[in-house]
Amino acid sequence: MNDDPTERDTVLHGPAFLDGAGVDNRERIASFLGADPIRANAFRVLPYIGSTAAVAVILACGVLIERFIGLQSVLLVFLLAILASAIVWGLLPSLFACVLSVLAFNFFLIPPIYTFTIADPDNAVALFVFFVVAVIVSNLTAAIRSQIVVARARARTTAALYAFSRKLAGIGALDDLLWATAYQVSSMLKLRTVVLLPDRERGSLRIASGYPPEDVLADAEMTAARWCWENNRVAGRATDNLPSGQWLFLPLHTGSGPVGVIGVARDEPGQFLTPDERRLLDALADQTAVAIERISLARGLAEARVLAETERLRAALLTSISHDLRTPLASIIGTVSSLRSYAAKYAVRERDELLATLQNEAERLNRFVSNLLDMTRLESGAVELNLDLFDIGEIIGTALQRAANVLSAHHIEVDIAPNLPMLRLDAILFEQVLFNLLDNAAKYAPPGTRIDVRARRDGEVVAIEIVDEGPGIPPGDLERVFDKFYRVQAQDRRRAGTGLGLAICRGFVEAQGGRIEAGNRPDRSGAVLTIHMPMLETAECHERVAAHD
Amino acid sequence: MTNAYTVLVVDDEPPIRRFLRVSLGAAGHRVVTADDAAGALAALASEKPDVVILDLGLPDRSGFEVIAEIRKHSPVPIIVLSARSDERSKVEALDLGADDYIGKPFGMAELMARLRAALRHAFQAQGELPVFVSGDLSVDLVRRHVTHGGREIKLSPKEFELLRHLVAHAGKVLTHRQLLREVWGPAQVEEVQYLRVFIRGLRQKLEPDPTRPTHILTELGVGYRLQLPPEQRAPMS
Repeated sequence: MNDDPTERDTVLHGPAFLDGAGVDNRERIASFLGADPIRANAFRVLPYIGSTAAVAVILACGVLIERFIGLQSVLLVFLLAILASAIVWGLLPSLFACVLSVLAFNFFLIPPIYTFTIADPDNAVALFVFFVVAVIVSNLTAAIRSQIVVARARARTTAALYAFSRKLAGIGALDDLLWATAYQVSSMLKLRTVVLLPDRERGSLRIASGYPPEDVLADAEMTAARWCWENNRVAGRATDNLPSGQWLFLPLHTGSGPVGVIGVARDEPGQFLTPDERRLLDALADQTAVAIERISLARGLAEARVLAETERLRAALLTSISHDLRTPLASIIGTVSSLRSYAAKYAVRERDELLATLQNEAERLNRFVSNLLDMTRLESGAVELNLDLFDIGEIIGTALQRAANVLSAHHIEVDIAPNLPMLRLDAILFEQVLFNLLDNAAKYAPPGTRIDVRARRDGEVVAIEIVDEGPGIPPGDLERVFDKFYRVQAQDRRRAGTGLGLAICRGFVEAQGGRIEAGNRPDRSGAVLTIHMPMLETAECHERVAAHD
Repeated sequence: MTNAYTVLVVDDEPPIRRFLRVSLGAAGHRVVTADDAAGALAALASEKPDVVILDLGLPDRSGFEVIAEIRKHSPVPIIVLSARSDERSKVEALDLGADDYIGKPFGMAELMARLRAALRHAFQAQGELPVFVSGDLSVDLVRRHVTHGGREIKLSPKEFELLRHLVAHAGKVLTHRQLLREVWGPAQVEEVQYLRVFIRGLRQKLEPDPTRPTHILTELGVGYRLQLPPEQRAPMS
């Protein structure tokens, strides 16, 4: 687990291996965590063979140099073998080397050789002193070595914990997190591991993950786990609470409360966990608890955002409805009551004027209700497409006909390129899109200005444009105009619209496989709304029709 | 052709019935109302209306059943009231034998035009004028002669057939299936593409501005309607 620079990028999105799911994914997590499978410590023979070999080598050297130097000096050389054993293999192998050295020296070098008899008392004293010194050197050297070994192990553990916490930080899905935890605990401590989480629906604990995978625990073990969860204290094996089972359960808790339970078991009898292992387990449990809490907080945050967005839309809907339904209704009710009360006092012209207002406002209301219905259909997924090949000119004509009242104050120019292919679309929806765009143009462009409706071929698509001479759209809002309940803020007044028209347009156009975008005119102020529709099967259609005339 | 007809209005909404009774009454017609299917069928037998305005959403039976039931006994023109966006219901009602439809909400002028077209067809079917004139368009069905602004228009045989059917039902909507069956034959009723291409061809020859047609109107998702001349569109009174 090196500090790979790419890891920094994985914190937000999770490491690449988390993209997939299932067993394959878990194997990848395992190799990523880089730990060993469960393996117990065993008695090792190799150090003793090593010590023996070291003594043998020194013995051979001793026999060779014995002719040139004194016997006592040769004895000192044996200290090298003992030191080497202590440094490389620890206390017991080096003590073994001490005994072996004394015996070998006596047997091969002290006269009479090839016996354990010592003729010269000087040699006996030297050999005894050598043995005492050798044992003391062994002990001291081995003690230093074990301190080094412990320090290294702690450093490795710390590094592993740090790496583990980094991995956890990169994991976004709860299942992956739990599995990684179980795997990590199993491999670092050579234990079987389960993680249990509260089951909100049933109000109890359930096994959420395990390594090796574990589906059920015996009833007695589950009782210990539940006790641990309810009391937020360790329970099970080697504790004061329900110690009869195989498993030890530790609560996973953070500052804000318990989040779950982690259970560990070891198949071999004997000492269950050393104090160091227990500390490591606690550290892993703490990190896991924090990570579980982080994920549930993130989930809560996402839910809260959705809720806030829903709230915002609901508020916008209420504002829109109260304004857009009430305004025409106010005019209608006011006008009607006025007509009823003062019918006799109005001149024909005034009465006609009021009646025209009445009709316009009622039609506005009708459009608003239609928009609300269309939006509801879009959002509930109830839009059924009735796709067929259509002449775009025909649909433009129908939309212009229906929008004639709305457009009465504007000058309309239609420019449809000849020989446009037929387009596959839903005529009713497409006509509604064009109507909304025309209605929108008429709303924002001042009366008396010109509105252009154009259709032309643009590479592999047909582009339909509605171009007005209004104020245009602020460049920062070109995307937002398609949001629900969004209205371009006019300096002078609030436009009488639903804020739904363009959102519906986008929904309908995209449902038919097209695109719609908003822009501004390059030549003067004014908005350009462009629909791009793909061309399909056109050649075939023309041929079939031509064959029938 | 007298101007006073008996109109049966079938709708379960009292405000709609009231508004139609007052408006049609003001136009000089006798108005009979019913608020459900049973009442409608009873009134059909007792009052012998000249035309029926039928809402599709009735409390006791579906409007489609009522159309089928009426068609068993009577060819009386039926104009269906339907929700604006419900094209399938419109087509179904027309295929069952309804003469025309009008989407709610609607204006009186629109309704009167529909009524007029339906009655015109019912009462003049036998004595159809051989020449249809609307604005600068003139169609002589006997001599197969079509002029636009005095200029003769050359039509292919299929185009003329199509135009002839539209003229024969001027003012009334004709569904895609009806037009395809009449012009191309029963085997081709699903080939709406032919129809669209020929309508485009006709418009290019007959309409001053084919992109904004004034004669052959599209009823999206339903069919086509040949616009009556303005003087015949006026409310009957």
